[in-house]
Amino acid sequence: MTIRKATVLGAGVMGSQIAALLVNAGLRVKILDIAGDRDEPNEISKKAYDTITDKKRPQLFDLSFASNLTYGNFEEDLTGDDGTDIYIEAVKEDLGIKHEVWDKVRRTAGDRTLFATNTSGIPIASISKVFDDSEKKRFFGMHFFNPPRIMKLVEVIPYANTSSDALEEVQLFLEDVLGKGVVIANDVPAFVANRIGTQTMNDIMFRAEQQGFSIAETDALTGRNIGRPGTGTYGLVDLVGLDIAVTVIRGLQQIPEEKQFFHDTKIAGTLMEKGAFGKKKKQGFYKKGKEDYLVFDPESNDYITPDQPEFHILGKFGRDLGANLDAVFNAEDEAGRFLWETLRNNFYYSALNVPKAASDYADIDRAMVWGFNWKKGPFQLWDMMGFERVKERMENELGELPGWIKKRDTPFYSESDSIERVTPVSEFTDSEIWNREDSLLSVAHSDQLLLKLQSRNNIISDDFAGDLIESIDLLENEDYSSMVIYAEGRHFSVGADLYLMKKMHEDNRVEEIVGPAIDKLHESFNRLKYALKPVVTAVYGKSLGGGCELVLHSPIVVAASETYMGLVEAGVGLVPSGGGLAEMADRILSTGHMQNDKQKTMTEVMTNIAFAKVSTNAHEALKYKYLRNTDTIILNAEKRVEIALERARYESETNYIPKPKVNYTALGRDYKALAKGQLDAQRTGNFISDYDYEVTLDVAHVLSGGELPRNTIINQGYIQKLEKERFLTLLQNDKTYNRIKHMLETGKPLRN
Amino acid sequence: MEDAYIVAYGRSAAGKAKGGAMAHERPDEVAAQVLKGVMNRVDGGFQPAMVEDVIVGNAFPESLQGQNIARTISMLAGMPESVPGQTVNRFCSSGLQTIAIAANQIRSRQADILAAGGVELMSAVPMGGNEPTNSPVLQDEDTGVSYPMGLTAEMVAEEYSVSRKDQDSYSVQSHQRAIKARDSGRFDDEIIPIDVNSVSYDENGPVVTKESFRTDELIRPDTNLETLEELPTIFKAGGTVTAASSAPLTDGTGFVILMSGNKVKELGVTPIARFVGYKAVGVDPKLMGIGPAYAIPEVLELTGLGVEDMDLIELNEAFASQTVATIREAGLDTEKTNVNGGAIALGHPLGASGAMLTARLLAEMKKRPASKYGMVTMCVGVGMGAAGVFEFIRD
Repeated sequence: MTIRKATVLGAGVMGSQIAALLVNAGLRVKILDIAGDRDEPNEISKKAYDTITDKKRPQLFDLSFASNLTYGNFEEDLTGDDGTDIYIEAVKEDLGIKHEVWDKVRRTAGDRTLFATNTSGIPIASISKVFDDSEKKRFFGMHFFNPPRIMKLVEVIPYANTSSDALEEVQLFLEDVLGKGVVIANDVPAFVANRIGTQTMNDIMFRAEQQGFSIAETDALTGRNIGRPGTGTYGLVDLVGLDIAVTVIRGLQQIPEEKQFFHDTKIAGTLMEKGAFGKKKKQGFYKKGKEDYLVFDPESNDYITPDQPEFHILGKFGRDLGANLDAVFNAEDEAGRFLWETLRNNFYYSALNVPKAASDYADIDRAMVWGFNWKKGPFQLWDMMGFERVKERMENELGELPGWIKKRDTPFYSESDSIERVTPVSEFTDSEIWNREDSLLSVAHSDQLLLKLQSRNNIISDDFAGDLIESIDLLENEDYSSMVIYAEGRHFSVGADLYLMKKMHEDNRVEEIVGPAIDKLHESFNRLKYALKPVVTAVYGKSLGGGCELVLHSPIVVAASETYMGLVEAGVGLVPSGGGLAEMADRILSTGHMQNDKQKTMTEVMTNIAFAKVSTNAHEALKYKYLRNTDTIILNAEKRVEIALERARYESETNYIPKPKVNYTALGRDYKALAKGQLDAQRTGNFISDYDYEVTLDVAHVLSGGELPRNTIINQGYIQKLEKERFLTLLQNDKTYNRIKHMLETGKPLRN
Repeated sequence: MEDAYIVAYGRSAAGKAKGGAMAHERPDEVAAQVLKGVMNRVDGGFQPAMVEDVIVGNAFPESLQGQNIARTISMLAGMPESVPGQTVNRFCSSGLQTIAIAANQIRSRQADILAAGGVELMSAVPMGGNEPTNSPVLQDEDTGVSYPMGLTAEMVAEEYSVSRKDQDSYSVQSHQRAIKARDSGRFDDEIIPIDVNSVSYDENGPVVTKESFRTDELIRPDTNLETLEELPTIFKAGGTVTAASSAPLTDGTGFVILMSGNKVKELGVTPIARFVGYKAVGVDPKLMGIGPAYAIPEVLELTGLGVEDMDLIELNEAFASQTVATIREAGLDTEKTNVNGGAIALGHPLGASGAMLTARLLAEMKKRPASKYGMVTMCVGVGMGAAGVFEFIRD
């Protein structure tokens, strides 16, 4: 069965977010909730529908997707004749209510329909009681993490009766269609991620109180340094909700064998009494003050400005997680020992849960990385710290270890092992052509080139531009059918090297060094755009500035839906000059649209660039004209290289026609005056600064083709020359220099 | 010199642009309905075929308002092909400018019977037109020609010290006066009901029905100072002008029929008002809204009258800031100015406003037996102002 139609039961926060996720994946979705009064039976589900399709903050990638979403109520709309392939229930965490809803559903559901319950705490077996034997085979737990659009983890929880067919089917659906990471969890309280995650948070809080570490101190210690979210432990509980964490803890305390791992903690108790559950109540362990965060002080029972924590070991931490773990292992100070015990207890408890909660230790790692945003899971961390020495020390300090650990004498993972489930790129590649500092070129499927951008931070460097030209030479002149460009990591590329730009300004070498670099960038991107054979770029995450320009010049793009594109140069007082403006102008001017349409679109583009607007997803990038309708948008980011190779293959086999080089009429001085008038009004209205005005006017100048009179013909190359000229002038301006400096120092734009 | 008399007036109710009563209408068709209605009001031996020209004001005479809309209107209004038409543009005073053009043609004996007015469906053509333009030379000279109107309102507020509170209070008053007038039937005489399309949707698709539109739909009876104080300023960060102290985007149309003294006698038509004089002036485009404060003294000098002679004034409220500044600068009596509210509550369909305000002025003067002289005045985009004076005729 191919799952294409889904009914979401329960239109609360989770239900509506799941519905939005499904619609974004191309499914036809119904969202239902209990019937309201006679006049407005769909009151609740309509509200969810309105939230999902809110014009200002839609949960859909594109509002037109709303036609695939309908709403209704349990009384009238569970008719069973709608061909629903899967019911996903996300009603209140109450066994009685869940039984009631499922009992209604099963009466009309088809005999192949899947039944999934989204619960974080109720045993699946007990929910299953309302089903008959055939239905029980198709029922399982499906635990999404909040927010489901972003969090990769979905725990699938079969119980005794779930058939392996149903399980396989849903796993395939979650991974391939929704792009999620599935962990098969056992039907134990809190399943995998919440069980392990809550235990370590509870353990940290308990020992922190015992040993006198304050909230702020504990969070400074237990965040990024050990590969966990930057919020630290208490900060994370504020995000999740203290009430939810406490419910999980209390549930586990009821189980005799778990009781020893879950403790009551004082501060949490106090805050629970106050109803300060965290972010949703606007106060928890922290509270947002006028400027900074305040922290709860149990002594004064009030929120105070936290002191900057000072520990010897904090000075030893850096970006290298392995080195940090080593420092923790060897630490002799109190804070260091606290961290060692934190990790040790987490390793131990995780080990105890194999195979209790998950059959495979890698699943525990996946659950923590995908569901709790840990950089590495417990067993990966254990390996990094040194499998043997950790094991030995744990045994000394804690006594007997779980049997499977005792027996184990090799690390959990080998060098090449990964917890990811998708086919690694190495599977497609046959041979390597080069492996240089900024790029890796290999051959895939025997005749496709695969160019990986691998410079530091994936910046578009001068060397990379050269490598790109060279790879296209190979593509065009040798027996290759097509090429794919990709990058690894969380982001495709955040652009050019700002440090270099700053230095060029300081050394007064802008014209000498940056000028030729722009020429080279233009040359390489033009070669890319007009390549004789198809080139597909696979993009994911941030693709900004020069990174965005590379994508803009790619004849075909395969973009993950979580792609954030933008020409953000104006934020640092520059104009895009890697052909970005020229390409945007080209996209508008080469259409057969009326002059007024071109002007209007040009103004939209100018405004997006002036405000350094970044798309919040790939469909929005389509709206901003950073992507085109001929590009492919996919939900599962990890399949982007695989799909890009397929797309490139398809193009090469279907008479690929290279992009034509065209001429068109510039908008010229008429448009520039119009833009200038608009910018002048914004400046006079104090909406933009004097320098914003200057920089944006330069953007308008380039997009217009300069001061040209009406009916003057230009082309992309002409606009690229203007781009370069404006860029070089701006980079030599001290105000631009100050913006760059400020951005590098604070990570925030300076509006001077 | 021949005298020119207004012998009939009328306007449509003001519709909310975009999504209002005239959302499904064409400007030429609604204008023709109102022109027909106005011609029906002329008594004596008048016949529409006697009209020698139809002069229509419009601020954005392009696309749906293009193609010399005056000619289309005259034909749609059932006039014979012998009646020509011309379209006139002086932005927001277009509808008064056409009356002045017609009156002066009659006064110089070029014509005896003319129709003049204006139409603007801001739903049909956007502010700035479909393809906005800006003079590169004037832009570089920093003349302010491209300033959005709201920004000029901010500049006027600063230059003439009109505070946020002044503007908000004035706006509340405009709505209060308008709602009182509407509810007491004060506008019934000047409004000519028009048929409009009403579109609803059922399971078979759109359902189109005809409705009669006869009530100004932009007045907000619940407007109060507390709500207004909360609104953001939209034209200037930290400024004073808000959406509520600006005239809303409006659809509307209005017409008058003008006749020479000789024709009035010959046809036995009852004259309503005599055209006394009209003046348009230019000011700093950045201070566009102060235009009427300059036009008023000029038209008074021209007509030999004083501001104290004006018994009733319709001052177009493009923005509260410029209205308050004009009242102060020109020394207008607030008890005689915009007595039934103004554009902030009733709307301002650019090129139609002059004719609609003339209709409103004359309808109100009719109800005030002591009134003799009345004035219509407004600010005009890109730094202009205009004012016209009328004398109400009583037996």
